[in-house]
Amino acid sequence: MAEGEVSLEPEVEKIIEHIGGGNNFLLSGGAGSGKTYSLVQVIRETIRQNPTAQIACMTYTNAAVREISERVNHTNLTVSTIHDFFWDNIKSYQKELKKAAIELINDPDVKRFNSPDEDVDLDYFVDKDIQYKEFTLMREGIISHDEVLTIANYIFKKNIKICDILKDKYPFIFLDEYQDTAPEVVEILLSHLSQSLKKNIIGFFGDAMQSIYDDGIGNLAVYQAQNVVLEVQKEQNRRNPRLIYELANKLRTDGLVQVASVDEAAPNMVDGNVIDGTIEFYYSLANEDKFEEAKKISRLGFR
Amino acid sequence: MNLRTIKVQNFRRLKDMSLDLEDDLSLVIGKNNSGKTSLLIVLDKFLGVNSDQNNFSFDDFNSDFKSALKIRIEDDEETESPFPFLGISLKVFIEYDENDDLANIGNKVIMDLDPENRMVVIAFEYYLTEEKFESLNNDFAALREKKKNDKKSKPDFFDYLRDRHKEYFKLSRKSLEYDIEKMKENNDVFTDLYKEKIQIRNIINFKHISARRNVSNKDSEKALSSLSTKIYGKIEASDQDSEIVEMFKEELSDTDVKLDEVYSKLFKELIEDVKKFGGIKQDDTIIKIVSTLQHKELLEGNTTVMYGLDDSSHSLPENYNGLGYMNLISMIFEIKILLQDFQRKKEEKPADINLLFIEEPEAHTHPQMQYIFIKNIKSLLQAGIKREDGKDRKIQTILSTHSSHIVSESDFDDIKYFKIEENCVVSRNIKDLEAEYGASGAEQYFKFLKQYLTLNRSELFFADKAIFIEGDTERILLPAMMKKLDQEDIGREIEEKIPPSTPLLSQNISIIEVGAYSHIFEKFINFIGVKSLIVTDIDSVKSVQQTDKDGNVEKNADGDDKMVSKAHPVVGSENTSNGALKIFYGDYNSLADFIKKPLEKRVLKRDADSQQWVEDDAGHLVCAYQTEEENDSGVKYHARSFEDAFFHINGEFIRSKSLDDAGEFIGNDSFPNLRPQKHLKDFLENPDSYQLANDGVASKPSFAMEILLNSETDEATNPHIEYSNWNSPAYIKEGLKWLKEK
Repeated sequence: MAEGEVSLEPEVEKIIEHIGGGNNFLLSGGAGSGKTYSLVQVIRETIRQNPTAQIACMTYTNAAVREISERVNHTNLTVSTIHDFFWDNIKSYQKELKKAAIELINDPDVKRFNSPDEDVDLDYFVDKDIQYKEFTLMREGIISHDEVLTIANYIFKKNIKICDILKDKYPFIFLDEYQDTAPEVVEILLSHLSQSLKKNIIGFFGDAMQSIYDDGIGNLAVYQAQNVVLEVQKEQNRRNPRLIYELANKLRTDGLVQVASVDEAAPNMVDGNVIDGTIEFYYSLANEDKFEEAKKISRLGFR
Repeated sequence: MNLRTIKVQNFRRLKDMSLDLEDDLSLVIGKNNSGKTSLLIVLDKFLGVNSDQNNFSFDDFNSDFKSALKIRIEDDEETESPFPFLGISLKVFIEYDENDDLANIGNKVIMDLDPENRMVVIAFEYYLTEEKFESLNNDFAALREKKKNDKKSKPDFFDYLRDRHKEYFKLSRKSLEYDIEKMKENNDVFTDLYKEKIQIRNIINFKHISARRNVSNKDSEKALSSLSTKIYGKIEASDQDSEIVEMFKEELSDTDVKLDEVYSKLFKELIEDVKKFGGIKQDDTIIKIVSTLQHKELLEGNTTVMYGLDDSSHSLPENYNGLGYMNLISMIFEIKILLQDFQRKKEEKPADINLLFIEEPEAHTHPQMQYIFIKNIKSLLQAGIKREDGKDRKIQTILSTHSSHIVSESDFDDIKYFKIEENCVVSRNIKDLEAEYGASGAEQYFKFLKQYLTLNRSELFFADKAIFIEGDTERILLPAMMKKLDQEDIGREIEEKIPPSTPLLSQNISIIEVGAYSHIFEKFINFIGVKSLIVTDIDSVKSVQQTDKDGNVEKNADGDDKMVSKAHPVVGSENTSNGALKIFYGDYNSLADFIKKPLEKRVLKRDADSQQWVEDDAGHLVCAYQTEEENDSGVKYHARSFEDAFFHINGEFIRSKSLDDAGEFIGNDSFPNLRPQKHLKDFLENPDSYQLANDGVASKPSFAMEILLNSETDEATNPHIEYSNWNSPAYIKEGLKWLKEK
């Protein structure tokens, strides 16, 4: 082992192999399997092997951004939310932004971009810049959360140069909790970016089974089928007791079977063995949330 | 990615200058004070090591700019709208393509996603914003008031600004939009790079080697040795795992071990004494003296560059070397160090644009060394920056010089000529001159020019004035005629008590032989814009009937006599056959036109639009050809050639040298090249300069030499007048007089 290499998890080694082969990858792991831990290892190893490359890591919330930033702090790494990342990379191209906004407003199939005015022509935004704020005021060029990703998708679709630029800026783009990401975002990363012949690696981290939002992409099955993304499954679970992950195994539909971690220092290990854990199953008939009552009768030690 | 153009405004002599750069090497040439050093300085101030600080001084502002600013402030006029740009600016135009790494310029510098637009423009400015201009206006007005009230003298604006310009002018870095339709930058649409925290050092890395290099022969200065230390430092910093560095450190480690052994023996007694003194018991704290060779410091002061004749035992230390070698080697060392700097460390990408400026490599260097330098520098730099991780980059180099040796060995196409036009420095590409020749179908002229200039006459680029002559005769006699004029002027100036003029022989004048082809140089003369005198012959011709060898007149197809132009004395001739004269004086239709205009009225300048040479009192080109002259005997005659004119006015000279005191003919001794002698003898009886010139001169250059050999110096005057026994033909004298003036 060369100086500076920490021992890597087998999943991380597989990921590094995919990266070496120039392939995008997907790390699938259940709840508590330590995906963030793997993400950190992947980032560190990538930096070690590519000292001059910039890595962009996108995640869903500001809290998640903080967490990752605290665990890896390096000048080569940029951590941000998805919206902030894409806005930051398109905001200086006002000419194209305005053109895109006008096209999107005039496109009846696009639901999000709307203007109260009837006719929106090319001079609509002539004196204003497109800005990203917390509210939408289309007449003033102000867009918010919902519109940013749509306009970003449009810009990346229509301009190969910005795909070139993004790939040169960030030879490595990692996306955490991908399952909740808007399909538009995945389309940018796996579809539009490939218009550019430059090389870069997109890495997804997440769990198709933990998809919270209906409008999230859910899974990458379509892309996996085309081999645009290669999957690595995180079988070892570091945090949850055995009974929990075995139950989860029964519930999963993606064929992932979780096992105990080989790392004796993992949080779910005691004396080299995985903790068994306890499962209590409560249900209520009414549509009420009876969680508080359940806590009172539970033997799991809630205070 | 390539730096295509550099534009500078208002920096010293560079009022509004635009320089196009070649992909590899651009050779900036020009006379002294033509702005070459200013270019280096402005690049260093905006792009160099200290460019984050404000290192501008008041004298960096162009004088016209200063004066205009003073007028604005003192006269308190309305400023125009939009507010104009007031300051020094440097703009760099960078062109990129699909193979370039856009990571740096893709971050806020590229402003246009149009795939056709491949240009970014970065502007570096030291300027007055509108608010700061108002402050300056108000502050200075307040100062004026105060001085008035205190009854002190009026404050001087320049003094005020000299001390306080940093309070008003500020530095800025912007990315400007480039309009591909107009092919121009747009100053109104920009991104503020300071605000966006963009690191320019990732985009442009600028290094230079200045003319004042550390090369002296003083024993104490081991310049090259300290450079080798620097190089080691760079090599070690850039790749600490390199095999060679490892080897070096291992050697030192091993040597330490060996030296430890030696030291323990060497210092054994000393240590024993210390032990006794300190009352230290045996086997208690043992003192050891060990060797610690620190790798970096080992080199400094402990290496010497030796040079030897071959691999043999004879080596001499660095400072015994003649200055030529030392300077060359020092430059190569410095370039090597800079190449390491450009390469940067493993964890850092090299910059996108790597620009190197080498100033006057010819300083302290023998011409032979200069040839070697310029021949090899291109290949050394072409290798560029090579890194283990494959992130290679090119290096673009600007080389400024005033050495014709370096110019003659360079690629002509790399030349950028700096000259002063209306008090402003402009840069002209030799490539554009080539295009000009090509556009008028004269490519072969340019080819000739290129060969001629590089083989023989590249000092023409550095001359202040030029004289184009037909051949050897003029070349041999011109310096003498120039000297005669100078001496005459000195005498006259002393007598009339007027301030002395600069002698012709002290001026930087290039003399070029062009035969009958001065017109080939016509575009070049316009390009370098120096004051030029073309000394040529009037070549008068008359149209006569063409006769065959039996003397019968030949006829045309329609029965008319066939006419042909033949050389003929000026009187009776109708035209000139001189192609160059016809090109320069295109308006003149007949010989009469050429004759009637005096020299002062024949000064030419090339019209920018028509590209024709036209009469202009402020022009810089004159053709001098034979004029009518009256000799000592009162005879007026218009000569047709140099010899013709010379004989006409120097009959006495020829006579006095062809006959001895007794009147016997000695022409065969004094003028061996005036043959057949019959013509000389005829001339002495009955002076016909045309006849003697046409038939009686065997070898013109040899005759010219004989004129010099027969020249006398008049020792009676003070200073002595050389070549006192003959006169320069008037047409040459008046040409030289014109050239002599500013």
